[in-house]
Amino acid sequence: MPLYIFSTPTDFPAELRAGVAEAITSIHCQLTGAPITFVNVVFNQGIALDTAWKFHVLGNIRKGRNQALQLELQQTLDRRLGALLDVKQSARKVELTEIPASWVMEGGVILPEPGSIEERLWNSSET
Amino acid sequence: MTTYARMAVLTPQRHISDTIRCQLREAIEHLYQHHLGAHFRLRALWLEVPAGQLYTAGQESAISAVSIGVEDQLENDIRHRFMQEVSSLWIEHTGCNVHQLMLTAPDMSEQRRALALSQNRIRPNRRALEKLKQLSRLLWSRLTRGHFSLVVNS
Repeated sequence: MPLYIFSTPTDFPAELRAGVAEAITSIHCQLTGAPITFVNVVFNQGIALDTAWKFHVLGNIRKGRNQALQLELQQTLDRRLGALLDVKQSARKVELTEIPASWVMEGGVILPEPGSIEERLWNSSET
Repeated sequence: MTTYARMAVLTPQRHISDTIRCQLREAIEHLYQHHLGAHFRLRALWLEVPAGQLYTAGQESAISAVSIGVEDQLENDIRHRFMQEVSSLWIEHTGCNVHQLMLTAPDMSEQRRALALSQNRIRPNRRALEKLKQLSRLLWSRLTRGHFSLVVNS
């Protein structure tokens, strides 16, 4: 967690995937402070998206961060991916959805709540 | 009365054999019944990711993301015991390491909501057709491979 699903209506060039995955990963980690090792990106191709969209991103992130940070994350992903792929704002969509940390296990442990002491210990052990 | 729970597995294509998938579903259903009630049955959906389409930490990866819906507002003590046992079982059957599994046990209503969000990216006039295509592929995979599976690309 997080898990970002990057969907396109046509095949998405293999040579661009690493760049998109890297951009999503670095934006998520810079803004949330999460360890890089837990950021996952999956590419879905040939999806019958809304006709106007060149790409769609659905990010599943841990619940508990404030609204301002969540909005900044959504807007930064939208803007930076749009610039990276040269896709105008009306042709792209980035959405985020949340899941409680206590429902997620990674690396064999239940994830800590964002902002908790447990998270600080977890971050230092993973970075 | 039987209640069906959903297990959705996003996994690299050909990473887990058909035989192991069937064994996993059966073993996890057994755990589910032990922890959450004998009236539950588990429906597994395998979402296969072709090579080069799954990344962790910016690098191609072999992680599997497993979501198993549980009763709404289940106490975390029970939820976590169940998850711990599923994790151990998964690693034992697949031979993956602990970092190649992301396991979630959401409330069933939240799992349905997340699935609906995923469906909402599809344009409305194509949703019925896409569902039909998925259903036919699922039935074909069940007949030919013994489990319900789909490739994530349409």
